[in-house]
Amino acid sequence: MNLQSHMLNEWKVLVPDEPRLDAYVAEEFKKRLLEAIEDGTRHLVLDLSGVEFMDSSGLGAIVYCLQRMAENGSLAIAGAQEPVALMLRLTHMDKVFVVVDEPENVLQES
Amino acid sequence: MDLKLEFNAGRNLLAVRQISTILRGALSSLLAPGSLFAVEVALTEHCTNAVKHVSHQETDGPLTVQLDLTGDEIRLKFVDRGEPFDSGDFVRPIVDADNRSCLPTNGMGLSLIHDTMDEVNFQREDDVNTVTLVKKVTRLEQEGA
Repeated sequence: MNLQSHMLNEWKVLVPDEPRLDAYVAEEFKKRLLEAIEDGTRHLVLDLSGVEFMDSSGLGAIVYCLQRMAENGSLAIAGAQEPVALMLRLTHMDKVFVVVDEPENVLQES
Repeated sequence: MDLKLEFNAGRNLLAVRQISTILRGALSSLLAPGSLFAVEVALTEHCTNAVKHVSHQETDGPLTVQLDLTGDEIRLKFVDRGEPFDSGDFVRPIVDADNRSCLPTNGMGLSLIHDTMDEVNFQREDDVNTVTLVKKVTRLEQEGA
């Protein structure tokens, strides 16, 4: 899998090209996330608008990425479809990440 | 429409994805989105656990999944020769948003299965695990009523 990347002011926006973030791709997803933040990125937005389903393995990769970011770094999730939003609520991870409708909305959170 | 499906797959994560994808396709026109989500999550999480916790003696053993949707109840039955699996004995992960270093990065699967299903039953006999998940579901036509 690949992560498309672009900048939105100080936020790096990552867009996975995978509709399912499950155990089958979780290790690769984690690897790609860590590569994306190895430049010291402190503000990251994951645009999951193209993701139809995420299991605990996919979510775990995102949590791991957050843990590897700087102490005061921010990780936002944008565009979560209903199954992804439900997964975040069910695991209480909606209290951990900034959740926005569009990547541009993180600028109001800054 | 009632539905019965049976999958006999290799014990690997690609097969889990394929089963989950087929199940979503089969149920998306029958179940309300909330019920579809619950079933897809429970099936994916359990099958992933079954693949990850394979026994040393049975690395290539099949993963068998049976689905039975009858009326407003769905039953998922999983049979495998893996490590003993006792879903009642698990520690629910703690999510403390103020303590990111302690956030769980794995081990959330069992909690998700218990939170999405109404019944989780485990049996083990002759080195075979049989797990049955049961849930009352909302049919798509019911949701609009």
